[in-house]
Amino acid sequence: MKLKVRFFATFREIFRARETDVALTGDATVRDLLERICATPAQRGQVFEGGELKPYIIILKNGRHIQHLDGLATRLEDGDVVSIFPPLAGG
Amino acid sequence: MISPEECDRYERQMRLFGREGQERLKAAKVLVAGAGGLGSAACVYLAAAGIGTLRIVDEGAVERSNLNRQFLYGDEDIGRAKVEAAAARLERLNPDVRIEGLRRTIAEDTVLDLVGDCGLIVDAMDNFAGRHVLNDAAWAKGIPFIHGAVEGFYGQVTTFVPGRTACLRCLVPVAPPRRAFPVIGPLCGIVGSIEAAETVKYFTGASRLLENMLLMLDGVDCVIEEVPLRPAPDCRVCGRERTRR
Repeated sequence: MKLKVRFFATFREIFRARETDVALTGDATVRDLLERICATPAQRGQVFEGGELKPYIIILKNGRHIQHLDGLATRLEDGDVVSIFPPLAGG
Repeated sequence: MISPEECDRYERQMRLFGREGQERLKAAKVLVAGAGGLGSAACVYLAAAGIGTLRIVDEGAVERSNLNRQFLYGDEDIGRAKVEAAAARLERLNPDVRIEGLRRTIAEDTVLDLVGDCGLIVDAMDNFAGRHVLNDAAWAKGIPFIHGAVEGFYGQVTTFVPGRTACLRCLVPVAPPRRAFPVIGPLCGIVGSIEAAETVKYFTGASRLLENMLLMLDGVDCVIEEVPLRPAPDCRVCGRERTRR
């Protein structure tokens, strides 16, 4: 399956991309996608904490937060758009 | 009724939405939650646009470190309650607008009273705990909640409307802890200005709103991108609302 990953805010600097296309096989999940795109320890450190998703990171699958789906176990389908960004909290 | 002086003052925008639109703005009462960087931009444009009543809620006093972005204030305001300094500035800007400055903390036990009979909430907060409380109040009252936030060279803004869109808890289910954030003034200005524009559009019906659409501003590459949002069926705030409807 082919997916589009969109990075926003400081994640653009960490992943050095605004968006990227990712090809995954079979019954891929959000965890599989994140394992694929986190190529460096720094990138991994931004996303994972002890093998789990760092709290407060916003990951939207087709506009819906994965916390309202199945978290890291959320299944992905061909054509999905996954948006990833940290919460911007300031005002 | 709009006076001849008001017709003169608002002539350029009344070309967009007419006398009727201007009268709607005059009849409107808006809560601006927070009088910081976002609040400075939002309040100035809302006051200039002729919103009838601006209720500004902020618990803080002006600090020197606010002045890179909070242009409602100057050096002479350091130490003064923000809502007091903001009211003085905005009353000079547009004496037709009624300014209610409340030096209060927005919390679960105060929010419904603070929102009162306001018809819309502008999010100009600097933390998500407060934003969640405002989001829940907006849903309880059935009024729009214009969300904005900034950090560094980045910003985000969207309009949540009960019964029509996702809510803030769909987008940010868990509030991250409060912390000092880096920011440049212009990003606050852009996001706060968009929030003011959404408010004017809502009351006048002049244009479509940012419903189920998160705008992400990238001040590094100077681009603004759209991220479609979808309501979460299990959201404890807006999911229940949809079920009831």
